[in-house]
Amino acid sequence: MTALGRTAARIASVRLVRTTAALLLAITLLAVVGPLFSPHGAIDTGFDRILAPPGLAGGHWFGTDNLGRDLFVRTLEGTRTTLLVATVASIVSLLIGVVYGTIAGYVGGRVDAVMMRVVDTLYALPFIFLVILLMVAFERNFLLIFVAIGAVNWLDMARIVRGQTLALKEKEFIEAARLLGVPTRRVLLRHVAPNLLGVVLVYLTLTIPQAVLVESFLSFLGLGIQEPATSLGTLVANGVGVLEQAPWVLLIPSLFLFVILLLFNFLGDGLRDAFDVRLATEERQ
Amino acid sequence: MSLLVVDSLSVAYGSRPVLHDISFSLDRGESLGLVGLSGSGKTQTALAILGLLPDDADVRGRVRFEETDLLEADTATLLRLRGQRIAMVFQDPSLALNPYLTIGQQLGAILKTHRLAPADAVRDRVIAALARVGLPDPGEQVDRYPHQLSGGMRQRTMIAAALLGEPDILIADEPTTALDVTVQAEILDLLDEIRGDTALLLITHDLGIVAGRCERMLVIDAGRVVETDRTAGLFKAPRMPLTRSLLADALTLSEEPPPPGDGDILLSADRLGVSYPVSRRRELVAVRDQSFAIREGETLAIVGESGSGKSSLARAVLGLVPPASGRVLFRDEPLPATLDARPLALKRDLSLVFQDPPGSLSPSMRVSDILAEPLRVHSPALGKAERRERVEAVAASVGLEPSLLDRYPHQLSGGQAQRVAVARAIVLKPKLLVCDEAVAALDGRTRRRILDLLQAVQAETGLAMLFITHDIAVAQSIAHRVAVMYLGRIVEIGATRDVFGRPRHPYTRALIDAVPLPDPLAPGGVATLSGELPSALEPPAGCAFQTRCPRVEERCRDVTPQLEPVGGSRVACLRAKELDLGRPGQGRAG
Repeated sequence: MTALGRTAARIASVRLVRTTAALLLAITLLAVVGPLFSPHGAIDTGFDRILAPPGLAGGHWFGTDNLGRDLFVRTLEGTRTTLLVATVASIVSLLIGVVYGTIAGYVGGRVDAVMMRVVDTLYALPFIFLVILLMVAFERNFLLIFVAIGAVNWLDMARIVRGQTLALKEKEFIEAARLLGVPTRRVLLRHVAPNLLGVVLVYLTLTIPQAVLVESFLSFLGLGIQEPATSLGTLVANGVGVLEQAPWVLLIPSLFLFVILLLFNFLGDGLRDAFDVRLATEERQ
Repeated sequence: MSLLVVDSLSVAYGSRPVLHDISFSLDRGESLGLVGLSGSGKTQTALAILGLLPDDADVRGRVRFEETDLLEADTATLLRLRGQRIAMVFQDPSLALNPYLTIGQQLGAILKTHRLAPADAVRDRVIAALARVGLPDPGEQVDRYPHQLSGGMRQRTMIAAALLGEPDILIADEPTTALDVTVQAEILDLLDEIRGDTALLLITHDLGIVAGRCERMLVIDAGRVVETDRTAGLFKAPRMPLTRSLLADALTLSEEPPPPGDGDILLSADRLGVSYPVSRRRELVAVRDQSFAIREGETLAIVGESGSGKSSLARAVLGLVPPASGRVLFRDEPLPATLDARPLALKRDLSLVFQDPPGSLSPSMRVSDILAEPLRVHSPALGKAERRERVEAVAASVGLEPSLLDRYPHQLSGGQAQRVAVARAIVLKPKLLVCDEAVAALDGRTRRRILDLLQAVQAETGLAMLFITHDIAVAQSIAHRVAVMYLGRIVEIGATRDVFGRPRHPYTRALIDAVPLPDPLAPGGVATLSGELPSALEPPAGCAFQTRCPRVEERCRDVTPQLEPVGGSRVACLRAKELDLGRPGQGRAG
C-alpha cells in the first residue's frame, strides 16, 4: 500500500517518534530476551537470599523479593506481561472501536443515535464493580483482563472515530466518490479509512499506556494477574509490603512502569506532530 | 517624502526564496494596488511590512515608515505602530474576529490598548466607528457576536476596527474575495469613502478592483516586481508580457456570450423545491418550486448571491439532497430523488466539479488512482493496461502532464487540482456536467484556463453543463443561457446575450453593475443595492426583492411576480415591461 508507505515515511521523519519508538522497542526486546541471560528462573525461591539488595553478587542484578526470587527476571517478565496485555487489549479495542465508530458515523441518523446511546450506557457502568463481578462470576484468568480492559477502551475509540467519520462524510471528496457511484464499502475503505489513520494511530498510543495503567491497577488490587505469573502491577503491590526493609522491590518495577508510560505518551505527542500535515511539510522543506 | 518606502525587500524560508528585491513607495493618502497571481508573494509583502512574518523567515532589505525601519524595530515599537499607525484588513473576516467576544469588546480592546479613548468613552467611540462604516443599528450591533453578523457586516466591522486609530496606512489583503459581488462593491466604496488621509495598499488578484480603485498599481510575479505605474497608464500600455497576459486573462463583460443552441431537452426541473429543516416547526426554503431546462450540448449558468439557493438547486439535481417538491426529468424520465436510489448508469451520465479543488480529491490517493476509480466502478472488466491508457488519455485531454499522475493532491497547485477534478468528472463521458462555483477559488489566469478547458471539452464531447456561479463575468463567458436566482426563485432566465445584454430585472441590472471591470475608464463595481439579502427563513412578502429594489413600488409589497416572457427572456418582475434598465456599458438609467 503506497499510502501506508508514505505515512510510515512521514512518521519516521519526526525525531521524537524515532527516539521513543526505538526506546520502547529496546525495552520490549529486553523484556523478551533479558531473562535468558540471568542465571535465575522467575519462580526460583530460596530462604538464603530473601530481600538481597541489587548488585552483581550472586547474579541478582536487581536484588530479590521477599521470597528470594530474582527481581531482574521477575521485573522483565512483568514488563512483558504488562506490555502484552496492554497492547493486545488496545488492538482489540481499536478493531471494535474503529468498525463501530465508522459505521455509526457513516450511516448516521437513527442508527448512529442508537449505537452511540449503547456506548453512553456502557460508559455509565461502574468499571471496577464490573471487574469484581466478572472475577467473582468466572474463574480468574488472563482472558478476563483483556475483556475488562477492552470493554472500556473501545468506547473512547468508537466516539473519536465516529466524530472523525462524521466530519469526513461532509467532505467534498466523499461526495464526489458517491456521485461517481463508488460503492459504500469502497468509499469506507479507500476514502474514509486512510484519513482516519492518523487520529487512530495517535489515539492508540495514548490507549496503550492507559491499558498499562488499568492492568497494573487491577493487579495491584489483586484482581488482575495472579502469582506465580506476574505483571508490573503485581510486582508493585508486592513491593509495597516490604517497602521499609527493601525499597528496591517497589522502586525497580515502579521505575519500569513509569518509563514505559512516559515513552508512550511522548510517542503519542510525536505522532500527533507527524500527522499534522502543516508541521510535517515544514519539516521536510 | 514618501510615507512608506520598501527598499529591496527579500524574504526567504531556508533555501526557498519568496520575495526578491521588492521596492516601492507609498505616499500619504495614496492608493496603491498590489496585483499578482496566487502565490506571487502579495501577502508575504504585506506581512513583512507589518513585521508579522514567522520567525524562520530570512528577511533582508529595508522597510522605512517615516523615520522608523520596520525590519529593525523592536517588538514594543511594532506593537505601537500596528493597529494605530499601520492597520490591516484580512481576507476572511470570519477568521479575523474572535468568536467568543462581542464586536464591542474587540473594538474596545484596540482603543484601550493604544489608549485612544478614556475608559468611559470607549463604548461610545466604538458605536461611532460602527456607524461610520454603515452598520445599521450600531448601538445594538456593538453587543453582538461575530456569528450574528453577515459576511459583509463582519468585513465592515473589520474596517471599523482597522480605522479606529486613524492609521496612516491601511493594508487590505483581498478584503472582498470572500464576499458576494454586490457586497464587494459596497465594501470597496466604503474603503474609498472613509479612509480620508489614510494611504491604502490594496492587495488583490482581481484587476477589475484595481482598475476602479487605485491610483497606482504594482504588478508582482514569483516574488519580483514586474511593473509599476499609474493605473490608467498601465492598463492602456502595459510594457511587460506578464502584465499583458494578466490583462488578457481578465474576464470582461464585452465578450460575446455563446449563442443558445436548439438541441433536445436533456434535463429539466419541474417545480423543483428544496428545503432544510431548521427546527421541529420551521424549515428553510432554499428553492421554491422552480422549473428550468437544459438542452443537449448547452451550458446553463445559474447566478446569484450566496444564499440565493443556486447550490441547493444543483444538489437536488444531482440527488445529494432530496427535493421537497417537484421532480427532475432526465431525457423525459423522472430521476429518483436520492442518490442511493439512482441506478449506476445514471451516475455515469451526471457528474460534478466542486468549488474547492483540493478538497474534492481524496488526500490519500494518487492522481492516477483518483482518475482510475470511476473506471474501476463503471467498467470493472477493463484490464489494468487499458485502464491506465484511459487515465492517461483523459489526463492529456485536460492538459495534465503525465508526471503529475503520480502525485498526491496536496502536491498540486489549485489549477492542477481543478484539472484533475475536471478529468475525473469527464472520464466516464457524462451527458451533464454540473460545475458548482468551479472556478471561484482560482486566480484570473487559472480561471480563464479552466473555463477554456471546459468549453473545449464541451465542443468535443457535446456534454451539457449546469454552471453555478456568483460571477457574472464567468457566466457571460461560458453560458449559452443564464438563470438569475434571488432568494430561492429564478427572477430572470433566457439566452445570455439577452439577459446580460438587456437586463429586464432590477436585480440582474444590479449584479451586472457590481462587477468590477479591468478598465480604468469604465471600472464598473458600482453598488446599487442597499442592505443585505433577507433571511430565507423570513422572506419578504410580495416580491422577494422588494426590500432592496431601487425601483420598488407599492404593489411590489403585495403581489409576488411570476416568470413571464419579456423580450427574449422570461422575467419575474411586475415592472419588467415598463422599466428601461439600459445596456451595460451605457451607464445606469436613472
